[in-house]
Amino acid sequence: MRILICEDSVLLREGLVRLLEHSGHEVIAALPDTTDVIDTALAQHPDLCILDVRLPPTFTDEGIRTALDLRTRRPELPLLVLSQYVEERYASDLIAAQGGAFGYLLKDRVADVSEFVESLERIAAGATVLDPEVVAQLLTRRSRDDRMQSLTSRERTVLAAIAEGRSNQAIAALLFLSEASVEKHITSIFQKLGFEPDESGNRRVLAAIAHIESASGSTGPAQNGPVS
Amino acid sequence: MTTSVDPAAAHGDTAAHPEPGSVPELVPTAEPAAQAPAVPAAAGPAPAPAAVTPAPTPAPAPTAARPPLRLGLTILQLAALGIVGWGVLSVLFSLLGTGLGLVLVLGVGLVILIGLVYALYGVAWFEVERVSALYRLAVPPLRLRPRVEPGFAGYLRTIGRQSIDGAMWRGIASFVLASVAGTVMLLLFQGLVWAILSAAGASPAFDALSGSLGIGSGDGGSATIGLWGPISAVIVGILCVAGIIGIALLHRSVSVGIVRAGAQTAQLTRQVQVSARQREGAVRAADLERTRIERDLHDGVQPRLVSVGMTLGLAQQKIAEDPEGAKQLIAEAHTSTKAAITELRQLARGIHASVLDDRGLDAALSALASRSHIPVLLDVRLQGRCSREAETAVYFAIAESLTNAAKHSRASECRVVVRLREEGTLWARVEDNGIGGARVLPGGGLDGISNRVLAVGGTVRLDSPQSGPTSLEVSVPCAS
Repeated sequence: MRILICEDSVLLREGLVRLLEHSGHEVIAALPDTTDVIDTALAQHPDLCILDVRLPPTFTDEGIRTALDLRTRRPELPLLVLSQYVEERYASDLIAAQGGAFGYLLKDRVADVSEFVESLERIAAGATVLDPEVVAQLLTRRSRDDRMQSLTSRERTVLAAIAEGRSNQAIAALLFLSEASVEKHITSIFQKLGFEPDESGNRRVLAAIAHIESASGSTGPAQNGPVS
Repeated sequence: MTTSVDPAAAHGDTAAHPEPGSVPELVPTAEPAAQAPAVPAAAGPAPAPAAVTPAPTPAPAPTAARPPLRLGLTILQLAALGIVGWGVLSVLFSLLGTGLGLVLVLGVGLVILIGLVYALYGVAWFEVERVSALYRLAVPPLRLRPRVEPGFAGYLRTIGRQSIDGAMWRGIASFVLASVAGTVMLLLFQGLVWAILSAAGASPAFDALSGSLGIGSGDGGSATIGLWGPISAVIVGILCVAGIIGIALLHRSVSVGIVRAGAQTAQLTRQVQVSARQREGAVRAADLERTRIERDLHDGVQPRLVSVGMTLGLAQQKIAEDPEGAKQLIAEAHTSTKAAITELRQLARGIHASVLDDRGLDAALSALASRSHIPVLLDVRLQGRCSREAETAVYFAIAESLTNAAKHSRASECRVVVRLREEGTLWARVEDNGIGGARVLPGGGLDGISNRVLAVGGTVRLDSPQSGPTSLEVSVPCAS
């Protein structure tokens, strides 16, 4: 596929280009800052746009702001936000911006080359992938929600895995369970949380995230159930 | 400035809170709000800092309500000081002598010298209070230097600083001058008594005086004496009264000058001390942090990368004759590399979180809480933002407390409560249900926290009894 990269570190940028070309993808542009990202993305129609979060000039959240900008202009463009640190607040912003598939991963994940490339391909194909670290943060902030309290710790682990965008098969492999018992857990989680039972694929991921996110606000944990 | 208000109660929190008395306080600026250094308000929606009471205004000029009474009081006080003052001062001197003499018998000499400092302070406090009450000066009472460093050494340092406290010595100076004035006044009283007696005709002393003055030469002097006696007695009496009144007035202007200048100087001195302590804290905190970063890099990431290099070197040698073995080594190096990456990330995140700058403290705490080895309950309620310094200091304090808890407390749960108090204070408490016994060790995590918080003009309170639980509270001015 055709990929646009925006990353300020030369080493990492060149490394990503090499890695992606080695995996048979085409890098249409590798930019050091956000100046031309939007124009390039609108003109060249990449299949996927990879953005770093901390970019010049202020090195805070330029990448997130550019990603949100892209969401409004081309909602269907799959995005992958890569970052040295993941922050639930940024994830919430990305989730809240209506649009197509997106990913939010730690840069460290690039070191697991094959897994990383697989994630890219899944995002380009319309899946949502969240870093386990960010899901853990969301769950930490939500741990007082009544409905979350009703989950067993095993169910919570499974819910986190769903939110990360893993398939039943992948969850089974991750937790050393049979696929049948993973399905049993998922059914139970869906019942407790009130998902639609036939959610599948990316919609299931979004539902899980949306639920974890449901009471998310900047006011800390909900005291009496989720705040709508 | 540790509040005695239990925030837990204020927020319907049932966390048991110990007696405030049992809490060792690290109060870097034990000045009441009145002495808080004026802080420049930060830009942004941060509320103004707590109302700072204005510096003690120069007292209104002593009212001329009842000058005779005040004059009388002054005269009486000076007379009393003329009698008692020297006794007090000689006691102080003998304490000094004894203390210095016994300084080789360290314990005893030290105790006496510490006692001397307190005695000096007591005398100075009394003097300032006396002058302030007598002339209705609105100067604040003298205060002991606050204790900054913990432990006995810290106590001794505080006593040392108290012993060279300018405000205290000004009080002592005023006391000495008043005693001298009192002594002179007593002499003048004697003169006055003599003059009254001679004017009344009983003049045994008059002969002596007239003799010494060379007035009246023996023969036929009785008429002269009859004339000179009462006149000179009256003159001497008038001079004595004038002297007494003059000394009282002089004492007033001198002591008021000293005490008032002392009050203003003390105010400025205190502000300078606070600033100096803040600067010290900032420097020390930066120093500690650099040391910690160096240690973390040296003990953690560096050796890992060295081992990665070695493993890859071995794999390179093996690759021709034992490709399978080489593959295994490479996999090992790959795993080690990822661990080093994670370690570096966590190290950097502990130093600073860029999300703190653009999304604030609440957002930055998510990653801290989720990364903690002990489950953390976050209870954050903040409206608006505080200054970057305040947020960073509190973030650091919480990060460091959670690291400490994970290392030493054996707790199964931590709780982090953050609130913005009405008086413009950013307040945070980190509690764990661990084994307690946390102490501030030089160069340790808690030392780093207190320096960091001190640097932004805040306070730290640690409560960690031997069997737990531990709670650490920090308060920093929101707009520091």
